[in-house]
Amino acid sequence: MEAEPTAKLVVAAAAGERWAWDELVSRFAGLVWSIPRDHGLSPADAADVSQTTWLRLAEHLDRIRDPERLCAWLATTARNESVRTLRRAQRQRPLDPASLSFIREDGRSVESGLLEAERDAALWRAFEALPSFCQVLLRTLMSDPAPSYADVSELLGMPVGSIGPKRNRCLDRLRRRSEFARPLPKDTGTSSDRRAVG
Amino acid sequence: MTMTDLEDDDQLLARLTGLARRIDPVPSEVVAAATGSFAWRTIDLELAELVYDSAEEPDLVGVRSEGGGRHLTFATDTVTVEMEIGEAGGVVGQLVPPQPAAIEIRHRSSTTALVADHLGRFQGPGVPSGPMSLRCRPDSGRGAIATDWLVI
Repeated sequence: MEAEPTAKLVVAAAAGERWAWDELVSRFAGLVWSIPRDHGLSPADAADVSQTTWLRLAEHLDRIRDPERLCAWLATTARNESVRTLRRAQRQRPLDPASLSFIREDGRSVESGLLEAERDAALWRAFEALPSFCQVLLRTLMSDPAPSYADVSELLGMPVGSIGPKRNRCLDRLRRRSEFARPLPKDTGTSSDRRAVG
Repeated sequence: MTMTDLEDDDQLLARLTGLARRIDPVPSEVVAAATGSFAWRTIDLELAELVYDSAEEPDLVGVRSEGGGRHLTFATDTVTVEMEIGEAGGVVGQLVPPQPAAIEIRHRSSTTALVADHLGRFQGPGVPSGPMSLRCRPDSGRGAIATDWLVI
């Protein structure tokens, strides 16, 4: 990927360059969105957290100490705001934390309708149960276009050499959890009509 | 699709990627809001950081602040803004040190203009839930600030 380094985009956006801001948004909007969603927030709350995160970035552009680590800054800001939103929601209406990852506040159950099969549900549950550094790393690797390891290194502030091993370890964990989380097959109805993904 | 597919790292990641897009794509209005945030930049004001948020405090049984509103404090080295957002969104605030100022509450897509009196007190009608930030320009012309954004 021959993209502008993130740090350059931050500096350009801080200088008022609109194109640089747009590029930052297109690069990280998915990551910023995923964090409140991974915390179980509803789409409306996640939209608030996302917008607040970007508004904060706009104000902080020339104050970011380490522009190379913008990705981590965005992730931390979105996470803090998600936790705050979650606490307020819990105060108003106690939630069962165990249910957060599976049942969204909009009533969508990951198991119902949206997922083609129990296997996908198990895989997604396993992903949501991963430690946050694994989620952030994998989410970053899922970006479109796929980032190079050099980009990931810059985004997450990790040495290039450690990305491969960490990726493998996170995927191993995902695989193990996914197998563990997989419900016992009930009947033959859902397992045969699976479509390939990706 | 069998278990062997998931034994390959690349296939597992590809499957997860497809799953993420299918389950939870970023809504286009969320991307538009992120893009539009650039227009809200404040370049000439000092940034006041959030230093206290009652929503962060653990619930104390039997101890409830009167009114049940949310208390926020933003501060720079020279000015502190204390404010309470009531249940209905109404705003009551105090500048420290006390001083008259023009206050602007920015929310979602518009702003609400208020005035702080000579004792630094200000008060305003309901602010819609969502992202919120406050700008304060003291009549003295010194120490203008903008607060961090947060979700109310």
